[in-house]
Amino acid sequence: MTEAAQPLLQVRDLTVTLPTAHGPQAALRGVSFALERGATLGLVGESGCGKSLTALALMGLLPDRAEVGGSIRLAGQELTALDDTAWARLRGDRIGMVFQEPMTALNPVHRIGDQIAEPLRLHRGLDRAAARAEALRLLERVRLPRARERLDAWPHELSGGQRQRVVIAIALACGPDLLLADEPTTALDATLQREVLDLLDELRRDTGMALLLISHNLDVMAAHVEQLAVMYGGRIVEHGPTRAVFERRAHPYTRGLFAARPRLGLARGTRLATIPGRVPALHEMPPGCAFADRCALADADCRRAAPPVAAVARGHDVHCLHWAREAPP
Amino acid sequence: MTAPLLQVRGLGKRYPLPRPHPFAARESVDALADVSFTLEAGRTLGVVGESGSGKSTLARLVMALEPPSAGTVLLDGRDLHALAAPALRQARRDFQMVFQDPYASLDPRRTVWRTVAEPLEALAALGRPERRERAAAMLEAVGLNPAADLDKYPHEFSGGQRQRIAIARALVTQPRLIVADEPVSALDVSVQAQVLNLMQDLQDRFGLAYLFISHDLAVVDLVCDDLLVLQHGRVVEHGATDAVLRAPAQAYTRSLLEAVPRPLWQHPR
Repeated sequence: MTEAAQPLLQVRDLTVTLPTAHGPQAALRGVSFALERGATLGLVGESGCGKSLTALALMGLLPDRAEVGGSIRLAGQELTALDDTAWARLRGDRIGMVFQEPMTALNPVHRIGDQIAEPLRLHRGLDRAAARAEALRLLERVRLPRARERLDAWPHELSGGQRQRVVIAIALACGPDLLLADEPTTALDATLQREVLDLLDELRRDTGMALLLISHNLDVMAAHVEQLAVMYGGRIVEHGPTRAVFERRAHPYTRGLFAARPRLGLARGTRLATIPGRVPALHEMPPGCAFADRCALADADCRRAAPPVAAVARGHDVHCLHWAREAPP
Repeated sequence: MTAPLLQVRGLGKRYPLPRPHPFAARESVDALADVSFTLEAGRTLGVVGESGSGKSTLARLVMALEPPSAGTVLLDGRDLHALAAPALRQARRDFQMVFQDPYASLDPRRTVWRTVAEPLEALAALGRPERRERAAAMLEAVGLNPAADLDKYPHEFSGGQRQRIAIARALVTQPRLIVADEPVSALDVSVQAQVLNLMQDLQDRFGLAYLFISHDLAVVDLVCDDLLVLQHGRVVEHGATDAVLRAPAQAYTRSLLEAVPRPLWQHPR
């Protein structure tokens, strides 16, 4: 099969088992999705649903004793079998990463310019001068003001938004095929959040890289990704075009997330709808649908086995036995 | 006529900057300048603005955690920054604070009851059994289970439960004003909804006033009667929440509203 015929990223039945105080526990329980070149996919869900673990698995950065099953293929190459050295060649080269907290992502004792030059020297074999010239071009590309001076700045001399631009410059240095952004703007205020996300959109359009955006913020998803996957209990429970997921809200958990969200224009004092209970710990995960204990539609069938996939529409899937029973709110 | 609960007049805070070189004159920055407002009992005033606009500086001055460079903070007519240290310690029972990060704001080595009862230690009259009893009542008020939770440690709780514990601690002295600095921005959406509902229920029940700092306009729209928009430490707009968000008078307020993400299908780029 040629590279063009398959998606850039194909994740099939990905499982991750983590060692815990209660013995090994399944944290990802069969995650499958595909991402085409240049496309955008959002992973949304609450803490503990498996979003960040999915990202770590895609970067080969899982904890040492984690067990991985299933398949991750990047442009046809199987990644789950790679050793450390092979992962290190891939990371920062074909896969770029942007994390939530730009201060912890940057090394406080290295100058900005050197940190951007590092992947270029490592993966592209550029010499010091060439890497520095390229670092300057990248800083200008992410529109860091006074880029030339900033090459020699330390991370602590930059604001949060400026640091995140530097992190993006590092992620883009080698022209990756895939950018993983895990809550890239959660630590920033709304204005900076928009600037950084708009910058990511623009860079993606210019370079043709694909974007996997992880966020708990539904509004951010609506504004920046074409496809949306809702995760719960280590599985994707609903997946489709972002607009379709927003309008149909097939899974009861998706409905719960939407109802709990404060929206501009709600009357002062409105009480928000909440989802009863809380996300189960890994060792408390029920055998059937992980959401059953919090779901108003759940019955004995839901608790027996994980619900199979159902098609809401073409390209829009849900894992729920009762999704059609209630109209969207 | 009685005085408003909180009256802030001409409040300013100037921080010195390091000298650029040894012979240079010392420069300074106004983190906050000429801020005035009043907050009545039982009402919520939202403070919005970008990072660096002075929101948290305002919170620290209202909480009397540092002295202002100019202006006064009157709580029930008393000038907090003019009080001597012992009097201020006593006065603190009337105003308490809730912070953004419930992982950082609770002491991991203290049991929940000691954390919640801590503000009572300044009130010397209360013995240990009575402090424990009040902590239990507050845990109940925030929806936790005192019988099971009093002797647990923070790591045994989720983020949302920790924020409930932080709120119980703020309420234990029966304050009249709570300063909440981004109280829900570190929480997941469903937990955020629970905490916002709780804060509104507690306001109705205890007649609390909130000074509510947030950069999330949807959240302030939900919980605030009035809004104060800060930019570079100055008030650029101040009025009823509805008026400020539906008919903003200032370009800066409009730019904050424009930063709210809009769906791709409504706003093609």
